[in-house]
Amino acid sequence: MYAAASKKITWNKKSQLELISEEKPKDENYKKHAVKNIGKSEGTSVVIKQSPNDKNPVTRSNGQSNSNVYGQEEMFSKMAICQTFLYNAWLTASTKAVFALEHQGLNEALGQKEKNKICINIFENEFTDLFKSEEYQLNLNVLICSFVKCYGKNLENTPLLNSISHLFAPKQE
Amino acid sequence: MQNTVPPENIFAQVQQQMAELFLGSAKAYPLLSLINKIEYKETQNSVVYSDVNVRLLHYESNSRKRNRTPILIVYAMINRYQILDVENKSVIKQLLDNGFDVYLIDWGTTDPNSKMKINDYVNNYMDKCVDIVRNNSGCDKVTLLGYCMGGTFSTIYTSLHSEKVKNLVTVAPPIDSSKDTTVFGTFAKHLDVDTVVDTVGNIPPTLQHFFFLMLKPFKHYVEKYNQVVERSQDDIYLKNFLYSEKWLWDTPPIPGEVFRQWVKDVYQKNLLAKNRLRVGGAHINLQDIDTPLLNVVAEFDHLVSPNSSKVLNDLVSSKDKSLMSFQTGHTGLCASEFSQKEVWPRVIGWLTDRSSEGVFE
Repeated sequence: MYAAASKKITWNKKSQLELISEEKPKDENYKKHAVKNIGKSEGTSVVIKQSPNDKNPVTRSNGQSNSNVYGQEEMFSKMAICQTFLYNAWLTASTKAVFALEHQGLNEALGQKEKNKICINIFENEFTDLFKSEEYQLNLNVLICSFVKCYGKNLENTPLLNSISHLFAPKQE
Repeated sequence: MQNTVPPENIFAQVQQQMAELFLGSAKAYPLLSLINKIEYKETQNSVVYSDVNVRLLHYESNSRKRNRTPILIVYAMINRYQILDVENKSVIKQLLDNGFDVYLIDWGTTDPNSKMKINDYVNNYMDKCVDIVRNNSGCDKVTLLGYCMGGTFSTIYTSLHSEKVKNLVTVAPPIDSSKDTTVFGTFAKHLDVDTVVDTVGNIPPTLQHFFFLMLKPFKHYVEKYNQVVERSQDDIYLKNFLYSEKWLWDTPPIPGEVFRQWVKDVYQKNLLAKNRLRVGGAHINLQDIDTPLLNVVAEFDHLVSPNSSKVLNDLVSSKDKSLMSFQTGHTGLCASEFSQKEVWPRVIGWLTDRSSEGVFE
């Protein structure tokens, strides 16, 4: 997935979205590759660009209804975009965690709990920033709306949400 | 100290560490099945009014010295009111011990076919409950104490019926969405709520859990569950954990039309803060609120930005208004040792000063 994200990707013409990342060396070993960016402590940056001529209302709406455009195609398209955002946040958080541990020069001395705490905080901050970003939420909105349009009132029985409820919320007897 | 570990190895360590944390959290899932055995232990109360959509509970103070002005607690429509009545950390019990008669609105579980809007809850159910409390207590006015969404409802109610409200206490109320920088605030501002509500009606718990997943994913779904696995032999810790997990996952569906107006008018258009919100045809002007106001906010609130709440003090015309800000989180305001020691004693002090008429032994 990282290899895919490091290239310029164009989704279907309908959505007119391009996923562009920084130029990456053609390094098959993603761990080594990510480590090369540690000094910058920025991780990777993926930018979703939209054509200025794009009239697609989906990515421009702020809570405005576009119910006619929500379907399976949008659902899978936005799922891919959101997954890429999530993956990128993971990678960025990972490189920041490496930087933090390396920078402190204490990674050998730190106990496992302290290391866990550092990582959890860094990952939490990175994902919170992502969830607060307009780009992510615009795409997530279309994903959610497409999802509910596809599954309608049977939301509770969809595999995705069912898996969440089984994992985290045991059914009341 | 010189670091001798190559960064490649640290990166691998981080991945390994995160994988282990995720696997560790999965070990908590069997413990979660114990939630079914946990019962809410509530302070003794009686139901003084009930309907399909609402119950009004009365907790009577046994204190010899009592304040005459009763408190009506208006809880949010997300999760349930039992978080205010956790064993050894009960807000309700603390109020009772300090001589207040307490009433609480339980919004129950919404009718699957409900079309009720904010207007129905504020101008019908809340107003009915306020009248019952006034009648029961013999007081012309009550103290309204609203938590989170209930704080916003209480604010709206007071702007329309200030003649029935002696004091208004709001705890972390969403008021000005332009000042809300939380994940939920961002999410709500971009949500096409019409499509969601038109399709699913009431917002089901599973969909709410999906939203909650975004709030603090690593602390709430990874770190917390690792901690409980570590401390699973500590019975008291485990019991408290299961109680709070039960509350966390026991959320009723949010009435669809309420959610629609809440998201569109309060979050997307910010009408409440702009004094342009309409509820049942009535115009909500926060300047109509002239009752004593106590606004309580949490500086680390990840659900409602404190700045979104604080602005209420600037928008009302009350001469007697106070703001209390605490270094805690959203639920930390009402279900923590900190809140027992720091928050509620100060709130009770404020209330006692304003409910002292007719104190009797």
